[in-house]
Amino acid sequence: MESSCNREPFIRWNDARHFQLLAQGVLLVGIASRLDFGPSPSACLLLTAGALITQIAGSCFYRLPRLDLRSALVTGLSLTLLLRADVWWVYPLAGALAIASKFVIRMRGRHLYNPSNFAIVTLLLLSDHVWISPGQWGDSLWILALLTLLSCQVLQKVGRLDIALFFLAGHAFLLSGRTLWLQDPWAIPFHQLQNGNLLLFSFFMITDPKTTPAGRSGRLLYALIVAALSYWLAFFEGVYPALLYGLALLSPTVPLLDYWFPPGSGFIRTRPVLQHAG
Amino acid sequence: MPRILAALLAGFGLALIPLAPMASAADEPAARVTRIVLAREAGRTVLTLYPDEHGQNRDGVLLLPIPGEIEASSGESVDGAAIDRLDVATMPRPVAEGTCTPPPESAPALAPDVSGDGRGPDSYYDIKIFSPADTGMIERSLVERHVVLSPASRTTLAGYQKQRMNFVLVGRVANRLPVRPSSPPPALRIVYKSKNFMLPIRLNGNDRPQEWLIFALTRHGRVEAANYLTVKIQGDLELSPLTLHDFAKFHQSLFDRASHHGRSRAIVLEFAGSLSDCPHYFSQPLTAGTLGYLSAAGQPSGNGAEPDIFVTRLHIRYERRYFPEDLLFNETRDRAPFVARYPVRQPLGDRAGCRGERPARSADALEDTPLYYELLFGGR
Repeated sequence: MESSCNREPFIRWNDARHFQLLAQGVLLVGIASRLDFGPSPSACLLLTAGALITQIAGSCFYRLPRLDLRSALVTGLSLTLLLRADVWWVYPLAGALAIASKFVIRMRGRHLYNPSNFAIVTLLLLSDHVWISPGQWGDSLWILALLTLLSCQVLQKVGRLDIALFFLAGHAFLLSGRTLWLQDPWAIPFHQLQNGNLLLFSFFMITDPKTTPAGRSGRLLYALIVAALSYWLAFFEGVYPALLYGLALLSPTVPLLDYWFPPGSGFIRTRPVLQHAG
Repeated sequence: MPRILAALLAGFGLALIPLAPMASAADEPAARVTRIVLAREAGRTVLTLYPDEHGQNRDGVLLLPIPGEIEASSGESVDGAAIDRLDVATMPRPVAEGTCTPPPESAPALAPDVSGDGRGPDSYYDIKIFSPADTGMIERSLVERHVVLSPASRTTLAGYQKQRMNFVLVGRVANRLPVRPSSPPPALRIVYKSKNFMLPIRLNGNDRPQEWLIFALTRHGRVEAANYLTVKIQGDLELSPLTLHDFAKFHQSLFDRASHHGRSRAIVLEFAGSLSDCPHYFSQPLTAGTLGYLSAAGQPSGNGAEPDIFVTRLHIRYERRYFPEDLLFNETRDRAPFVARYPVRQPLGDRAGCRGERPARSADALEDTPLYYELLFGGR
């Protein structure tokens, strides 16, 4: 039987993942050059190697019709931007866990968890060697992240900018409500919104078409529930990183939302989305 | 539709940009440094501080919001010499080139529960603890201590009250503070069940910058801010004897340069390490016993061994406009040591340096930088 691992052309320039890779590359260079505690090149290599090797192994094992490494590369770079570890072997393990979750944890033909989110949450819960650094973004890097990710979303044309916007609006609404309730200065919610990890989460995780509801109504509901759960985890339970845990807890509800709010139904009309995020 | 949404999002994001505070040349230097030791273990925080360093009013009254249940052991006094030792052992410092800092030696024993002159905390401090149910009494207690809250402070206090926090109010007992320099007042220990930490409320609404040193004692590794940028102070410069004469100014320049990060301000890491991994990084006799004394463990573990405690020294110039949100600290698993030591270039003699240490950059490399001129001509 002919191997399925080398049939399709690798390069197709209008693919959204190319823009994602470009955006991640820009952010990675920005972080690595500006931060004292940024990701190391070896961590980047180990993470992407773990993800790529697992993607190749999984594609061959499940005899997929084509081998596509771009999603694995996007996942590896996402993990490089977010995950830190004190031992080298965690990096390839994280990459492998992320991609393996795509092959193993599936429902109705779609994987259930965003790969990067699954790997980070699993390792935070089970390993004593990892952490994330949500405070790593200064002003300049935050602006770089905002502009880069926004450009990426605009350029790729299709995608799920709507869910990113729904989520950010819900998140901002809750933070503003808290500010009004506590009579805090408005500088506090603005500071909380100026976080690169929040942008990465909004544009690269919760926008993953394979792990979010297919209908726009479902996506709106899903984004708002994730925002509300994350808020509760952060401010009432003191759980950090609340966004990542919130998304991981709610990912299994996506098939239900798809069932209740199929595309074209509900209170907002939807449109098809084809591309895949890491 | 995506283009419209993108435009909305861009507007939203760009609208945030001008709200970032602008750097000002009129940044005032802080009057004095306030030190806090934060020890964390298993969701519990042990806070040790000198109340006298915190009092922002004439009567030295300190009001501290506590984001968790306060344990009964709070209010004990701690030998202030322990904080002094920790401070001296971890501060950025010049070292004679070619010499290694000796490993820690034995130090005088610390008093377990009393101050340097043998008196208990009640002799110095008037401590009141308010649970969420009786925080309405705080203002009256403040008035009794001749403190009138500014409108801004009252709003801040109300916000913490809505979050159902506990409060510790510490006042100075009149005429009881020791006058002899050899017997400093005791530090105070507060133990509570939470990983979070709040800075004391500025009772008089004073918005001047405050200089903070936070010593985090943890089991796993370095501590960093979770909601602000943390950077390292430059630690690989070689000093000339000329610079050595004004080392404090040199250090201040390095701190300023590290903490100014674009239009925002960063928290500066000045030391990270543990006695087991890098004992020679500590400059003065600092024993595991001292760290255990200040840490959550307090006592040696069951097998008699002192706990292996990782020390992180963070330096913050706190200004409300740059740090609007309460500091959140994140314990990492990074045990890589970091020390800011500056070898002094010797005109003659042995310049071999310590074996295994990275050679320092010469300060000559900075000749073209503003810092060099600041050091030489006092331009700051």
